[in-house]
Amino acid sequence: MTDPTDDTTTVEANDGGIDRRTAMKALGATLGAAAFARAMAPLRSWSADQSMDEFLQQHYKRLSDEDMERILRRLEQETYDEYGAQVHIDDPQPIPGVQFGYALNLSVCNGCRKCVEACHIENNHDRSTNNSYIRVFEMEQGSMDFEKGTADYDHTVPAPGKYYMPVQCLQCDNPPCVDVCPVEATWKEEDGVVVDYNWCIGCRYCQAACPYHARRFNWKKPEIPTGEVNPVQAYLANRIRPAGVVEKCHFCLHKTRKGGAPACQQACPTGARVFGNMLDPDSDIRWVLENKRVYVLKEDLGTRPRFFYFFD
Amino acid sequence: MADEKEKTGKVPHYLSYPRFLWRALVESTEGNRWFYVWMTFLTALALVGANAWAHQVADGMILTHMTDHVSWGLYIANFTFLVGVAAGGVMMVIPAYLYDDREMHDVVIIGEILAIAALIMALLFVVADLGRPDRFWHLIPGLGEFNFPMSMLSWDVIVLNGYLLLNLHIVGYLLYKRYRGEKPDTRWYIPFVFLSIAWAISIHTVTAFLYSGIGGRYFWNTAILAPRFIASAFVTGPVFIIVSLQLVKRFTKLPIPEGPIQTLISVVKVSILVNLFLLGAELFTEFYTGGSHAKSATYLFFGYDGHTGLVPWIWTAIILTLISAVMFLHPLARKNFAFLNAACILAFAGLWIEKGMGLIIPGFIPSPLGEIVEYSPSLVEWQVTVGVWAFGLMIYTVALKIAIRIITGESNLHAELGTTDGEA
Amino acid sequence: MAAILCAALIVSLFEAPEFDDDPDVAVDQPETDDLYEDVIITPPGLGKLTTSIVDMHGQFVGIRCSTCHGAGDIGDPPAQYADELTEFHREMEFSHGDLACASCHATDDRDKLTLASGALLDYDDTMDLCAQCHSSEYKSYQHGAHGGMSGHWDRTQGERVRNHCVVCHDPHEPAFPQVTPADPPRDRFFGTQ
Repeated sequence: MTDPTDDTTTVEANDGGIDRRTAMKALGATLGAAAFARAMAPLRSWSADQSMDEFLQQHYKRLSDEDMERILRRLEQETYDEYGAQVHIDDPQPIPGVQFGYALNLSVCNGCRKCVEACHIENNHDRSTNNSYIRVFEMEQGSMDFEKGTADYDHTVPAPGKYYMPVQCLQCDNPPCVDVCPVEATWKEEDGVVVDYNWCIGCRYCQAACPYHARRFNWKKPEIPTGEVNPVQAYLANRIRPAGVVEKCHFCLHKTRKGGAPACQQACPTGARVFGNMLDPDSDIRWVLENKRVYVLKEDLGTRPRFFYFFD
Repeated sequence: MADEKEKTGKVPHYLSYPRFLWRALVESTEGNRWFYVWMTFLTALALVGANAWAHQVADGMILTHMTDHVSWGLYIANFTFLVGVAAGGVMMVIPAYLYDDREMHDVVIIGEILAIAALIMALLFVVADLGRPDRFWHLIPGLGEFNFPMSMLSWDVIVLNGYLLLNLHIVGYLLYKRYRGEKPDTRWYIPFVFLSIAWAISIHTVTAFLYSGIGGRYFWNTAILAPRFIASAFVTGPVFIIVSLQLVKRFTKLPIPEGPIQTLISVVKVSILVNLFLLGAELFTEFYTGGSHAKSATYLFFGYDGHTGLVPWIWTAIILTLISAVMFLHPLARKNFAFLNAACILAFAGLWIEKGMGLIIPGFIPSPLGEIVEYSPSLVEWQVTVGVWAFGLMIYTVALKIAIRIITGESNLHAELGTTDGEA
Repeated sequence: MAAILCAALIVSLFEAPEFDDDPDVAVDQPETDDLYEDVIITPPGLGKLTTSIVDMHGQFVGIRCSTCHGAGDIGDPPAQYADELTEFHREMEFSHGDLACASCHATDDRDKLTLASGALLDYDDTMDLCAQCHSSEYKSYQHGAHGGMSGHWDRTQGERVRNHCVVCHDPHEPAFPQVTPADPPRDRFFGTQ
C-alpha cells in the first residue's frame, strides 16, 4: 500500500462526513450485497420446500413417541403433497430375540434380476435411475473376482459359463459405515443396520467406507408416479427419501419386523434366497448355516456380514 | 476522545476492541486501485461459485458428476489439499518459535493467516460436498449427535475448527495488542503457539486417517498415507508463503528479510524429496505386489481396462513435481526469484493434483465390487471450486492487509486517538 | 418301499406320541399348534392333460389320463421312451435323465403315479416321487433352502408359502428355462463396457 492516497484513510476515520470514497464504498457494498442475493436466489425456492419442523427434528433416538407420531403424520402429508399418494408410514421396532440373517444359494440363482426389480418397486426407488439396493453380478465360472463380473449384462440368463451373484447390504455385525458416520445417522439395531433419512447430512463417508457398494445416495429427489408409490411404508425403511441423503437395503424391515418376507425373497423365482431369525435354532436360515458350506464376502475385512452365500 | 488523551495505554478494552474491529473493517475496504481491481475480480469469482452452489443445493448433487461409485470428487480433493496448506503454515512457526529465528518471527503471522484462510476454504469445501448443508448443526457437539471418538470425520471437525480457533486467537491477540501499542503477554499466546505446532501436524494426520482407516479401499488403506500428507503439506504451505512474502514485499511497507525465504526454501527442498520418496515407496509396494490391491494405482498411472481418465492428471503432477524438485535443488533457486517462483508454482500445482484428484478419485476406481465408473468434475463443481478459492484468497488478502497495516504501525490506536505512541 | 418306511418313520417322529405324563415337559415344547401351517402352492390340473378346448370360463379343458388310457389301454406295450412315441404327446419335450415313462407313471392305473417300490401315488403327492432321486433337494426343501418362500418367515405371524416341485420344474423337462432378465441398472456414467 505504497499509494499516497492511503493517507485518506486516517482522515476518513476521524471525519464523520461522507466523502467520495465513502460513497463509492457504500455503492460497492450495496452492489455486492445485491449480487450476492441474486447469486443465492436458487436457495429461495428450495428453502420454501423445507419445513421448520424437519429442520429442527431431533435425532431418532431422542424422539418421544408423541414426536414420532407427529413426524410420521407430517411425512405422510408431505408424501401426499409432493407425490399425490396416500401412504401409511409407521415405525416398527425390532422384535426382541430376533436377528435377521439372509443366505443366498448361488447354485440356483439364475441372474433374472427379479429381486432387483422387486426391491425397486417395494422400496419406492427413483424411477429414472432404475435404482435398487441389489446389484446382480454375472460372474465367471471358476472365479470369485468381481472385476471379471459385470452388473449390466443384458441377455438371456443363465448364460453358459457364468454364475450370478446378487449383492446388497450385508447387514454387517461390525459395520464400517456405522463407525464412520460423524452424526450417528446410521446405526446398528438388534436386527440390522438402519439409516435415519431425516438426520443424515449427506457427507457420503459411509459410501466410501462400505466395502460392498451397498449404499446409495439420493443425488436428486426421487421420481415416482403417483400410482406406483408403495403406500405401506416405515420410517427407517422404504418411505420416499429426501434428496441429499444416503440410503441402503434394510432387509425390508417394514415387512420383516412384522414377520413377513423381504420383497427380494418373495420375488425370487428360483428359491435361491433364505431369510429368517438367526437366533431361532429351528429357523430355515439356521439350518442353512449349519448344513451348507456358507461363506461371506470379503471375510478378511472383519465386517462379519449377516448375509451368507452358499453353493449346493 | 479528548479525555482519554493522556492515558492511552489504559484505554479500556470495551472501547478499544470495537475500534480494533472497526479498523479491521475499514482496512479491508481501503486500498489503491489494484487492491480494488483484485478484490472485485475475486468477488466476481466467489459470486459465480455461490450461485453454482445455490443451484446445487436447490436441484441436488445431481449437478455434480459424482456417482454412487465415485462418491467424493473435486470438493473433497480440494479439501484434502487445503488441509495440507493450512498445516504447512506451521513451517514458519517452528523456526520462529522452536529455533528462535528472529527474522522469521517478524513475518510468522503470514503463515498463521494462511492457515486461517486455508482452513476456511477447507471447511467451505466440506459444506459444498454435503448433500444436506441445512443439517450442518447435526455436527455440532452438544447440539447434534456427534459420533466421537469413533468417526474420523468427527475428529476432523474438532481438529480443523480447533486449529482455526487457535490461529484466530494467536493472530487476533497479537494484532490487537500491537494495535493498542502494547507488548503482547507471552502467557496469552506462547502456549497457544506451541499447541498450534502439534495441532498442525494433527490436522493433516487426522485427515489422512479419514482415508487410511477405510479397510475396503486398498488405495488409501496404507500406513504411510499420513506421513505422505505431512510431507506434501510441508511443500505446499511453504511454497505458497514464499510467493506471498515476495508479493507482500512488493505491495506493502512491511520489510521482508531474506532469511525466512531462504529457510522456507530449505524446508521445501527436503520435503519435496521426502514426498517423492514416500510416493515411490508406496508405488513400489503397489506394483511389485500387484493383485487387486494395485488396481487403483494401475488405473491412476496407466489406465485400467481401457479407462484412462486420470492418467494425464497424474503424469502432469509427477512431471511438475519432479521439475520443481530439480529446480529447488538448483542453486539458482536461492538467487533468482523468478526461477524460485516458477518452482513454487510448479510444486503447488503438482501437489494439488497428487493430493487431490490423484488421491481421492482413484480410491473409488475400481469400486469395491470391481466396477469402473470414471469421474471428471462437472461445470458446477469447477465453479464452486473456483468460488471457494476466490473467497479464500479474499480472506487471505484482507487479513494480510489488516495485519500488515497494524504491524507496520500505519494503523494504531494512538494515531487514531491522537495520543502519543507508546509502542516499544 | 424303503422310502415309505422312512417317510412313515419321520412322520411318526413328528406326531409326538403321548408319552409325556409330566405336564411340565409339554409346556416346554414349542407350541406348534400356534404356528401357522405352511401353504404349498400346488398347480391346478395335476394328473390332467391340458387340451386346446376352451370351456365356458375361458379355461383350457384338462382331461384325465384315464380318459384315453382307459381300461383297454392304448399302446401295447406302452412306449418306453419319448422318442418311441408315434402319436400323442409328441408336442411335449422330454429331457429328464434316462427316465422312462413308466418310471413315474403307473402303467396299470393311469390316474396314478408310481414310486420305485411299485406303490401307487396320487398326483398331488408328486413331491414324494421327486424326492426318491432328488433327496438332497428335498431335504433342503424341507428346511426352506430350496423351492423359495413367500408369506411369513415368522410363522407365529402368518403362514409360510412354499412352492410345489412342479411349480418351477416341468417333470418332463425339469431344467429351469433360460429367461430374459429384468432391466439392468442405469447408473450415471456406468455401463460403457
